[in-house]
Amino acid sequence: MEIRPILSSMKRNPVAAVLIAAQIALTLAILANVLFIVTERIRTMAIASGVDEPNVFVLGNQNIGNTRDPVIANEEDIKAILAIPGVLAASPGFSFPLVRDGWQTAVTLTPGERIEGPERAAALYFADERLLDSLGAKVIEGRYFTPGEITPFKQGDQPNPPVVLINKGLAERLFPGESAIGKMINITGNQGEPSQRVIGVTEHIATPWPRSRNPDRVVFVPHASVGLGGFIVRTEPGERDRVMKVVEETLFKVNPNRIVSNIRAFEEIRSSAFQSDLAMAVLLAVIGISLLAVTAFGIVGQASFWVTQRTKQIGTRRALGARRKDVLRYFQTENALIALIGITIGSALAIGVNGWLVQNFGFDQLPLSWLPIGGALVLILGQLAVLGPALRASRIAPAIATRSA
Amino acid sequence: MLHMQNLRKVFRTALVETHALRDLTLDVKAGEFVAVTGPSGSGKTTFLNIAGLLEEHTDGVYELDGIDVKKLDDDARSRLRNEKIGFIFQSFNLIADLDLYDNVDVPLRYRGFPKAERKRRIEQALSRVGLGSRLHHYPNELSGGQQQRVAIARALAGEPKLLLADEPTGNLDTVMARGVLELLEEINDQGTTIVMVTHDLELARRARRHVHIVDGQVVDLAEHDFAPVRAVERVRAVA
Repeated sequence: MEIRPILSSMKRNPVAAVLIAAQIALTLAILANVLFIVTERIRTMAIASGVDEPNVFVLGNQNIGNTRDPVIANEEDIKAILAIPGVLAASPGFSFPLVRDGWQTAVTLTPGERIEGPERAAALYFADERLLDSLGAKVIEGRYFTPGEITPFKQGDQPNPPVVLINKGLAERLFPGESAIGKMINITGNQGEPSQRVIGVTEHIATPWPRSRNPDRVVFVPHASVGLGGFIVRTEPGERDRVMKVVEETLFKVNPNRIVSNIRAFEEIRSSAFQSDLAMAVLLAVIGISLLAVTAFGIVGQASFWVTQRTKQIGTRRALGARRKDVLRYFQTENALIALIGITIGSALAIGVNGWLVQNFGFDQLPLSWLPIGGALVLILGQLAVLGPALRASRIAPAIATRSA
Repeated sequence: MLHMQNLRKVFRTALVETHALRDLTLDVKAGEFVAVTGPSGSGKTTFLNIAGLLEEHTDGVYELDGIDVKKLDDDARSRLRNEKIGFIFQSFNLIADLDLYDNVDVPLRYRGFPKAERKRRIEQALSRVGLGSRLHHYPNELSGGQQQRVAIARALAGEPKLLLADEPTGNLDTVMARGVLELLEEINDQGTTIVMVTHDLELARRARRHVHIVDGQVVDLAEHDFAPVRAVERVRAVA
C-alpha cells in the first residue's frame, strides 16, 4: 500500500484534499443526524397500535337538541350499529390509539407520591363492556369488566372507579417481574391512598399520542363515555368499507337530530397521526440524498481533475511497472485516506450538531453507533465516486511516459 | 537480450493507416551499449516503446531476455517491464510531489520488495549517482542534471538487465549531458545493457554500437562507427 507516499504527496498539495475532506466531514455531520432523525421518524410511524386496524373504523357523532337521555341514546345507537350485518363490536369512544386526543393521568402506587413527570403518565381509555372487542384487543391476564361494573361517564365527571384494567406496558413498569392482578393503584392524581384495583391486563395497546415518551402506558376505566364524541366499530374482515357506507344512514334512522362526521378507517387515523413525521422523513431523506449527490459529484470532479493533471505521472508509473489495478488502487487508497480524515472530523462535528439539536429542539441523542454507519456510507460513496475516474486512470497507456508534452 | 525480427507496428484510424515500423530486425546482446538514431518521425520512439513493452507490436517477433512478449497479457508485461527494464526519459519524469527517496521507491514498491530491501536499494542507487545525501529533497530543488541522475538511480534500483534511455541528455546543457553520459558508460561497463534513443550524434558516437532507423526500418548498423554518410546527412538535415 502506498499510504505514506500518498500522504506525503497530499501534504505538498493540501488544498484540494482539504476541501474534499471538509466536504466529506460536513456531509457526515449532517448525514448522521439526518439518518438518525429519519430512522426515528420511521420507527415512530411503525409503532403498533394494538388495534385490529384493517377492520376498525371510527366516526364522530353529536346529538342535537338534548331531548334524549344520553345513556339511552347511546344504547340505541350502539344497538343499531351492532345490527348492521358484518359488525362484530361497537363502543362509544372519543379517545383511542393514535388519535392524538384524549385523557391522561398520573398513576401512583403510594400516598404522597409525586405525580409530575412523564414516567408516571398514562393514557385513560373509557371502556364500556365491548371496548376491547371493538378495538380488536384481548385480555392476557385477569378479566375484563363485567356489565355491572360499567357506569356512564358524562361531561364534567371525574374518573374514580373501584376497578381498572391496565395494558401490558404499564403492568411491566408498575409491577416488574410480578403479576399486576389484585394490586392497588391510584389514577386520580390526588396523591391519596391507591383506590383502584387492577383486575386485568390487556395485550399491547398504544396511547393516543404516538410521539410521547411512553406510548405504551394505558389504563382502562369502566366508564361508557356517552355523548362525548363518537363510536369505534369493528367489522368482520372485508366488511368494513361496506359498513362505513351505511352506518350514517343507520344512525339517522335511529335519530335524525345529530351530526355524524369524520367516518374514517383506522389507516386514515394512522396516516394522519404520522403525516408530519412522514413529511419530515421525506424532506430529510431528500436533503440527505442531495447532499450525498453533491459530495459524490465533488469527488468525481476532483478525481477527474487529478487524473487529467497526473496523466504523465500515471503513464510513468505504468512504465515503471504499475499494473492497471495498481493505478486503480492508488486512486482508491488516496480517496479512502481523504475520506477517513473527513470522517474523523465529521464524527466530531456530527456529535456537535446533535448536541445542538438536543439542547435547542429536544431531539434524541444520536447513538455513537450511528457514526461508523454514517462513516461507512460516506466511505463507500467516496469509493464509488472515485471508481470512474480511477478506471479511466488505469486505462492510461504507459507509452504516455515517453511523450515529451 | 533483445531480439526483434520483422517487427511491424501499424497505427490505424478510421481514415488512415500509418506504418511506424516496417519489418524491423535487430538483435542486442547482453552488455551492449547501443545508440538508436533517426530523424523525427522515423519510428525511434515507437521502437523504444515496443522495446520497453510500453506498446504492443502489430506483427513480427520480439523476445526480451528470451521471453516472447506477444504472448503476455497486460499484467505480465507490467511485471516484466518492472523486473527487466529500467527507463530514463528525456524529461526525467520524476514525480514532483515525492522526494528523491520516494521517487526511486516507485518501481521497487511495484516489485513488492520488503521495506528494508527497498531502503537498501534506494540508498545505494542514489549514492551511486552522487545524490546519497539528498534523499529527502524534492525534484524541484535539483538541477536538471541532478534530476536525470535521480531518474537513472530510479532505473538502476531495480537492477534491470536492460536500460532504455530516451534522449537522456535532451533537456540538459553540455556539461550536465557529459556527466550523465559518463554515468551511463560506467553503468554499461558494469554489465547493464543500454539502448539509447537520441538525436545527438556526439552522444551516439559514445555508444559501442550505432543503429539508424529511417521510415520504420533499420537502414544500417555500424559498430564503433557512424551510419552511412547518406543517413548521417539526413539526420543532420533534420537536426
